[in-house]
Amino acid sequence: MDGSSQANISGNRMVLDQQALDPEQSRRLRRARRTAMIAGAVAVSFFVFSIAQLLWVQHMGLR
Amino acid sequence: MAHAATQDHHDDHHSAPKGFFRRWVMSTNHKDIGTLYLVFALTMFFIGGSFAMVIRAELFKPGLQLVQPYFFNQMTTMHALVMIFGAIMPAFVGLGNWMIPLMIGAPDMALPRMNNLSFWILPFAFLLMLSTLFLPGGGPSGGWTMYPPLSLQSSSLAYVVFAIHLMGISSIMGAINIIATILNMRAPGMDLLKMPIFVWSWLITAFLLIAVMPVLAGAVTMLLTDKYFGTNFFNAAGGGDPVLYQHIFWFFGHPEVYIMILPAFGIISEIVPTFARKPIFGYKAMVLAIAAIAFLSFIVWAHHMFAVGLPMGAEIFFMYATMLIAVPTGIKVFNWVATMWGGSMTFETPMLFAIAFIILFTLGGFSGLMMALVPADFQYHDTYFIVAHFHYVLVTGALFAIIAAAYYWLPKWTGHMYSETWGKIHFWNSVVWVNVLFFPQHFLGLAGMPRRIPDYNVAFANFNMISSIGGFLFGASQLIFIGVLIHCVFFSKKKATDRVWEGAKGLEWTVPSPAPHHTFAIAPIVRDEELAHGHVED
Repeated sequence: MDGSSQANISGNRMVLDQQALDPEQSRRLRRARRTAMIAGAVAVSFFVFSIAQLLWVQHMGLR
Repeated sequence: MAHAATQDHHDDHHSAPKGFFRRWVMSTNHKDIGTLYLVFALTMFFIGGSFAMVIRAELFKPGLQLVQPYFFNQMTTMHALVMIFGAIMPAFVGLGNWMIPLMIGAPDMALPRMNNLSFWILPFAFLLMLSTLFLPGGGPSGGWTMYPPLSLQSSSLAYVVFAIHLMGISSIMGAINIIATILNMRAPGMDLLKMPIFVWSWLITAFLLIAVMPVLAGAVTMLLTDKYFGTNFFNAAGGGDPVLYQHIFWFFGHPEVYIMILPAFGIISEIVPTFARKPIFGYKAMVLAIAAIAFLSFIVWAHHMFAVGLPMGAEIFFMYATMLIAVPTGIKVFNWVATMWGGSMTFETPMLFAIAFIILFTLGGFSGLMMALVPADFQYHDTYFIVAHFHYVLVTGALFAIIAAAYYWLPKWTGHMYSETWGKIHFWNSVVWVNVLFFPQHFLGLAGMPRRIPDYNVAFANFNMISSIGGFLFGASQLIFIGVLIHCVFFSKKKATDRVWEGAKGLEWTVPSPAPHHTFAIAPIVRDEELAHGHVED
């Protein structure tokens, strides 16, 4: 694979086009997006849980 | 491997966008974004440092000299918030951005546009937070922990909470990007247990960030609703409990301490083998120790709250859990020393800072162990002993590691060598004055001087004066660092070689110096003998 299949060269500026990388690299990027979504979902659930548990503690009078 | 890594570099040298706006504001390049993070962190370091100078000037002698107590409290609060969220954390994210793709053979971060957003949120967050200093009523003054009910009295709470939300979103997106990059973008052959320890330390740190930054966001959101929306999460009069805030804050706060030190461990684990010219001693033990420290950080939060009145069983549990952290930390210190043992050592500036880190961080760790003991902590709680402890961990620990990393990788970033003479002058000034600054604070704390006060008993005068002199000179010493950086980037004539350091190993040293704008568009072939820790026997 040569460099031109991985990069969009216009004038003296080269933009790395990750969509145009080789199939293995594209697969990695798809997997990376899935990983990111899972990590993001974990973060959101921790945020919701941190508030929900205190609501629950107060509601049940456990403090 | 060198050919695989560099074969398209002729194009890369000319590939950076030309215009300032396109190059820096719209950047999706991990190196440029890393540079942005590092410049931002350096700026915030000096802003936070200027707040520290106000604090030390006021404490130079007893009595009120320069500022009113309310402004003094704003300075202590803002100094902490700026240094933690504006200097130390962005500096590590910048180093991660620059080095992780280079170290694992990836062409860039997995999510480059999110990377841009992660950075550009930060300046707005800090503008918002710093702007509170100019508002009627001033900035936050209840300490960086923002304990209610004190913090609820601040008129700037909403600004600070929004700023913390923005910083949290930035950190979480940065962490997601790092996890996605490390787990998916490694070059073929770069197995998890072949990764440099800096990459491992960041992977584990990123998981910590994902787990605890949302908890901080939740805690400050509840502060906000308590103040403005009539809830009573932490209001005792309404059936709430202020101690609940302390629990939820420190569930974030203690892992946060490790967020600020684990990447430092990674940096030291890269530098020591390079200048000892030996593979790291006990690679797997080092990785497991980082993971163990990260796990333990979740079950020790209440050691910050021993004096609040916890049940005896809880105090004993948190005391022993805290002392347990000394085991993996001890493994790390032992392995760094064992790496140096019998090595062909040289003492360039990064190595000097790394050795100072090992000695002085260990000192901060020991005072931490003293505070882990419940009965002793009742004596130390809220005194200058605590201030001394966490500054040994965060200044001679985290900050020294960041400075060591800057010296270590600067030739790779800029293509020029920094001035070794001035680097060493910076080091010796830093290491002497930082101890003059913080060591006497142990004595002040043991003698009973409380933290966060603008005035004090004359009995504490001498050590405070010594500490302030150390503070001014340590601050001035950092101007040498700025000089070294400017000289290296703009004026240094001495070209850096690709490998830079004789003992350096790893993929990042196979690319030219300065590192081209794009690297590893074609995945490199990873050979075990090139890895910093040598061949791993399974």
